[in-house]
Amino acid sequence: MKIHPRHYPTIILAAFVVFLLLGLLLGFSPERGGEGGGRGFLFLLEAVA
Amino acid sequence: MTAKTYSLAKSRRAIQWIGVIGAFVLGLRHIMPGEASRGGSFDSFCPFGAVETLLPYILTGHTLKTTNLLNFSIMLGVLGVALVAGRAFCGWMCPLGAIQDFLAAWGRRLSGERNHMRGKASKARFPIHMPAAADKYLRYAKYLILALILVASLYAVYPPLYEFCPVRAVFGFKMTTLLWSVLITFIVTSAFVERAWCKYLCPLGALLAIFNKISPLRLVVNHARCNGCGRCDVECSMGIQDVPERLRDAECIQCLECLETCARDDSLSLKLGWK
Ligand code: SF4
Repeated sequence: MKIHPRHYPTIILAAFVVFLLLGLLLGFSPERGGEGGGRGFLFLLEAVA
Repeated sequence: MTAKTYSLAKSRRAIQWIGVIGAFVLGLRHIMPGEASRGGSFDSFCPFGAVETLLPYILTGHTLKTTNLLNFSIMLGVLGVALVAGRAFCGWMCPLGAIQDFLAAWGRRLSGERNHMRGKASKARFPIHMPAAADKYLRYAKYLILALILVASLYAVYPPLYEFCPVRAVFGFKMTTLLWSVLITFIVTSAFVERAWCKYLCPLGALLAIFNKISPLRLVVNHARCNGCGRCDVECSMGIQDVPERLRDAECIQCLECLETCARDDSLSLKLGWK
């Protein structure tokens, strides 16, 4: 499908925002203190196991 | 070019300026007291911070100092762009890429260019073209840097790039001697060689390069229309030669300056889909 160049900026900005929001919804947001923290994927697997 | 009335270049400049101003605001916030208690440090807004902290996070459950989980969300945003449009983040959104474009334009103006004629080789002395052999091999350096950073991150407390990160040097405002050296090198190299850091050094660009091969939103050439005039090659800041034949090149930052420059309707166009 051909895309008009006019729509290109909107498409890439939308892609950025949607995936950023997805990340935030998944819980990848800053904790207070601004560094470190969180439980890693291995810990998650461990917990599941 | 399909629509002469619409300027892709102007839209790109506008988005680049937003990125640059955003980075400066984060830099200002960085020098104000208590930034960490207001959602994270300067580094936690860096998409590459996610790459630097990924392995330590997987292995220990903790991110490196000055990064936090926000890095992963920002990186997801960048990956979203890459999944749709390859390295478009580099060409449109990266504040460091934007500053390099501005510096190259200033370099051109200071070294003799009065009016830039789109598609015509500039008479300015700068930016220069690297010798082809050096250019070819130097482009691999960014992949090596990416690999080194991933290995170093396993032993690091701070992100491996922390002390000499060009983004901190340009936008961070908390300068050290090392960062001053990085800043001066950055300014000089960017004015001398167009997008030098994207071509040779940027590990994020190295990571995103693979997406140029698979992203559905891409440039296509209509060989029946293209007459091989080479105007697009002249405008390519990444120094890609024979652009119409290399539209999936890993080096392409999807700036679309070639599309903007093409004088023949429907020769280059944007397409969504893999077929
Ligand atoms: S090939 Fe075209 S879109 Fe890619 S970097 Fe060069 S000018 Fe930009």
